[in-house]
Amino acid sequence: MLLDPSHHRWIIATAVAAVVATAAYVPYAASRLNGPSGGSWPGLVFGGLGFALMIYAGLLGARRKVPTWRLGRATTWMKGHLWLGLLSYLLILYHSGLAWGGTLTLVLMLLFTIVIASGIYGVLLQQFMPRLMTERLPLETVYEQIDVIVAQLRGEADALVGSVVGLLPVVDLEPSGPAHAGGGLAHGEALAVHSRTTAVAPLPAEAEAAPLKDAYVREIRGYLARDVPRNGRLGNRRERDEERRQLAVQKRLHHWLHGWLLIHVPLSMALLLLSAVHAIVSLRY
Amino acid sequence: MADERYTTKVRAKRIELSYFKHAHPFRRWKLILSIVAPVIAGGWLVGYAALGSSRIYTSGPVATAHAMFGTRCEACHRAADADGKPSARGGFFLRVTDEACTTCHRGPTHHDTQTFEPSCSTCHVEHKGHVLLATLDDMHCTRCHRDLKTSSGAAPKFETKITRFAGGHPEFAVQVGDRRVRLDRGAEVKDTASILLNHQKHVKVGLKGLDQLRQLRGPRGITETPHGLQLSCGFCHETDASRAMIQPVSYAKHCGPACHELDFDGRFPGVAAPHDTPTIVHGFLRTLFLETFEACQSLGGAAAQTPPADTRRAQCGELGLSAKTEAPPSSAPTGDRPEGEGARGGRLLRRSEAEPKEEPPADQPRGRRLLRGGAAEEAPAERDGARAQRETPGRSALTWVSAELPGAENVLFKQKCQFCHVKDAEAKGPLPQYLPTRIPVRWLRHAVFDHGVHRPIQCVECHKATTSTQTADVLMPSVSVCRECHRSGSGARTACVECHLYHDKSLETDLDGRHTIRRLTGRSLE
Repeated sequence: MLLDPSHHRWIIATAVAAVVATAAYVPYAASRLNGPSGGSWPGLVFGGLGFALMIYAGLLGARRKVPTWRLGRATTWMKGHLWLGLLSYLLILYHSGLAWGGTLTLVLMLLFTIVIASGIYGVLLQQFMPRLMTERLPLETVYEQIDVIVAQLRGEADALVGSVVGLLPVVDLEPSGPAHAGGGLAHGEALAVHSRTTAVAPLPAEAEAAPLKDAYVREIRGYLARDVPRNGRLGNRRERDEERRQLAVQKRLHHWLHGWLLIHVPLSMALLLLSAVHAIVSLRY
Repeated sequence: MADERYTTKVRAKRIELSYFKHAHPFRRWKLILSIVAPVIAGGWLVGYAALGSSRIYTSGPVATAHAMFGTRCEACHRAADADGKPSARGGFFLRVTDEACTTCHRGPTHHDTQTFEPSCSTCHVEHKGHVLLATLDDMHCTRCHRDLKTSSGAAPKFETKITRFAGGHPEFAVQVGDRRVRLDRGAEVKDTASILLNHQKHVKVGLKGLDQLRQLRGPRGITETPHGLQLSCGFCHETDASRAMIQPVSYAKHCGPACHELDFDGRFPGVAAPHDTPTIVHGFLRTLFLETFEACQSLGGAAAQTPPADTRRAQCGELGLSAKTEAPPSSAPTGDRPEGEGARGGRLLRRSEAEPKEEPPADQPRGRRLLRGGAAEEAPAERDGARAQRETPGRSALTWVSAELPGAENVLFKQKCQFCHVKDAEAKGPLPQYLPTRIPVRWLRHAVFDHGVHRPIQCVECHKATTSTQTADVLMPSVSVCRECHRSGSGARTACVECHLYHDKSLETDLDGRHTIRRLTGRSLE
């Protein structure tokens, strides 16, 4: 999510809430005989508010499961997730009295810190990586379809080269074509525009075609089938090669752009569970 | 060069419209991890619950003194009744009540007139790690002492405005008799002990007699300086086993040996009177003289030529008790006596037989002594008649003792005893009486001080003994002396609990408590 001017009100509201919380915490911490404690009334208030905001932030995932429900705009939820989640960390810090506490609370704070840090990391990536992808990857496509499209590209390349050099060694295309529910290309089907734009040369003699066939099979076909080398250079021999290269780069950038979610989301789930247990046990004792 | 006809719309045909319905590895892993992470977290909690351990829920390790309760929450956290007392009945909320603490700690009331009594956990906060629970912030004390009031409404006996040690703390108040007097009230600050002591003289470099004292007692407490030996403070002021408190000075241990011996007659070499009441001393002298008289009368026969008999005979001669046998020359040196012989008066000897007899230094403050032969250094006129009487052979034992006693008692009572002790002028009776010394054991009764941790510092830095010549001098340091080191910020600690105790430790729970090891640990003894 891009931090555009639409976030200003959220930023101001969060800053004001943080200032108010700090203004309440400082005299409380200074005047309390034994220092700030999560079990004191101010500590419980900080903890309760913080936990409520954590739950709200965690509901973002549930909200996405029901996009059609009239529960507010998705962007509003996202902004709330972002800023109120950040505010919850401050409140929980004040709840803890800036101390680690025991084993469970230590684990909680570590998890919370990782979750917040990964979230901030994700927000920062969102500020420039989508723009970078737009600029450098004009052939960007849907991330989940990259492997399918790569298989399509290889199939088209096989067909194109095969029309020049004759039959190619048979290998399995990957991934195998899924059952269609509309859109996409059937297994081995070539995109029409490529068939039209590719000038098919007369069939050369087998001896002349052998080097071309050999080079395609040994070098180009392999690239089309596998992931692109990490330097992303395939050479701009053909349009398919370029598209394949861009898809490979897109895939890698996508991993950077969304990979943090593999940490952020699972740890958030664990954090919410342990926080609930902590709240119950702490209130009891 | 990309084909311009290869537009986004064309490329979009490659995309399946229902792609989002298929589980992509990224989304699949996100889902799997989102399930696995909470499951692991839950399994962690369940695992500890299965082991019966609740240590992960503690908000921090308990204090060292409570380590045995560290994993047993129920030892302190119990369901409480409405009045706060622990209850056996169940309940969701398990608070720590004062009764949980007083099971082991009596926690005596701070002051009878305090306006309120805080709960134990108000001051002693657990789960803060391995710290001393008695290490409290000053705010616990100053919440009352910054504006001290009493529950009865009477004026407090103590300073009413104390906020901190550096600045707000009043001058120390020492116990003078029955009242407390601040050290800054000069004329009122007087040591009322009935003892005559000159500290300055005792710590003088080159004090005569220290050589003998060192030979007798060893080098401990006697410092060697370029200008001679010096008695250190620690010779007389010894610490207790904990090295915190100074023990009272003992005559037998610190004053008597080689310095202030209670010898009284040169004709009784090595015999010293007991450091006791005048009645006891009188009895001692009377018995000594009687036994000596009888011993002299029984001299002769088979023992006449043995060395002990010779020594005794010489002593008897000096005492004018040679009526039955002829006394050997009175100048027989005592050094010729065999070791361990009974020339010192048998069971009446106060010093060890193996102890070498040290000749006291000439300037030792021993008072006047009787010389060999019974002559006093400055014999009073009244003793002339007594001497003539005791030199007359054939008199009775009681007559002889009655003649000898006044001289010896005169030396002991008037010179030895009164050299340090104050005579009770109002006492009546044949024997003099001396006032109890009343040397204060503790000057600052409302504070604790650990001499042991201050041992790197010279005693005279705080106690100005080198300039004190009078008993009345109170050598306790002012609060400003403590503040030289105990400063906020960069100095030593200044917390109230550094010197003050809240609970009277003398009222703490006695030994033989109520717990069993099994109950404390939750384990059975094999």
